[in-house]
Amino acid sequence: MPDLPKPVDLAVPGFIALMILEMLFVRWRARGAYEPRDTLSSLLLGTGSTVAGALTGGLVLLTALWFYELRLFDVGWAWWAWGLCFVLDDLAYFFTHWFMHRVRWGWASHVVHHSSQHYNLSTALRQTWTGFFSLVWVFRLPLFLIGFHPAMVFFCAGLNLIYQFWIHTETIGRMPRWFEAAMNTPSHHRVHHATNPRYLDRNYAGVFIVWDRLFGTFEPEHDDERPRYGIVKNLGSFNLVWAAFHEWVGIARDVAGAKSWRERWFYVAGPPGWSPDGSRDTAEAIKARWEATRAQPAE
Amino acid sequence: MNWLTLAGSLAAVLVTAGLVKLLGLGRGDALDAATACRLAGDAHVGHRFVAAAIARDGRSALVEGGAGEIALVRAHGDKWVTRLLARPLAARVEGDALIIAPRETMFGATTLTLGAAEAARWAAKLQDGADA
Repeated sequence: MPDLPKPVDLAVPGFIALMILEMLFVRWRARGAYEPRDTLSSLLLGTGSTVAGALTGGLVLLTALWFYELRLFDVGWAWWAWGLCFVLDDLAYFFTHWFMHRVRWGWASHVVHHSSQHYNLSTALRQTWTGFFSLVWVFRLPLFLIGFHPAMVFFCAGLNLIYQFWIHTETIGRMPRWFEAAMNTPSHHRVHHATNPRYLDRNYAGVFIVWDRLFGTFEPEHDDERPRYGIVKNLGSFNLVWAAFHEWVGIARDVAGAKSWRERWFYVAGPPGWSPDGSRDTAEAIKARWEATRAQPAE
Repeated sequence: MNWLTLAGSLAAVLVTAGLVKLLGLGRGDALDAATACRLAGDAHVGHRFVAAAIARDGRSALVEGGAGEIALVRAHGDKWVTRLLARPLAARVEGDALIIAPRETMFGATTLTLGAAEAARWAAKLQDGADA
């Protein structure tokens, strides 16, 4: 196993420096927002995520190496392989991210990242404790089967994560048009974190926004509709354990009370908010209601 | 990850969050009726809220929709959380305050200082009213 550096570990001092700069900017220009308990929650959830990753990383690595043994090609370490690996890893991330939003099992793990009502650089570090359990890492397995070495894939995944740090901010409006066309940006990702019906379940990209444009999930940020951050039913609590596990608790309760195997399946694998009688809200239901409201003539 | 790295990370977390407090960031505003109705309407798509009772500290409110539905708006840090209240809901009056607790894990009770008469009026609505 080649001994490559861990990009995220090296980037941590930069993360802290940029957060402090953003705080000073927010104080100076009153653009963006920070709140002490929210920041503390986000950063402690990030620390917990690192611990959880360290505990389960060995199993993910073993699985990756096992898949790599079954590889179809020897991609090797040429310069072009790095570029191709980065692009394909970002595509795999897009599908992972789609799963994390459209399937409740994935959402139970990912919801923690969206559970802050703030959108600042500390939100980027608000990460899951249950990523291994939610199986989101399986979306990278095809890369090992193709023949990309796990060390290369994990290095590229680290770079991807670092890229996604700086886009969690309200202090940057829009980037140049050519950049907004191809890359994920603060503007595109603000849409992703917003609960406005128009913005729900949009912009899944990690680095390249072209995936959303290609697969029909792109939504631009509208100047007349400021994003409202958080989740559809905001927690109203800064409790870390509740933030990390509340949706898993919800799944367990629903499955325990389900009346059939169909219900059990949809409580786990259906979209977040699914219920047998439609009494809860999925993103699609909220969007449909919003569209209906818009269509009504103003009183 | 070793224990030293973990301890260093926790120290950095505390210093960073402490800096947010030191800079005086995250102070919330007080609610007014229009804002409370807008917040509830934004959170509960398809509902239109038209009247509000704002607690004296401006940090919570009850809002009522055109169809008789009632929502709670409550401060959470410098942001707001809202809940549509399923009725009948246990609500009690203590002096000038109305105390309500939506049936939800970890959400907790909310105390709204509305004045004795107003608190009693809303308590009756919440206790007796069927869901709109």
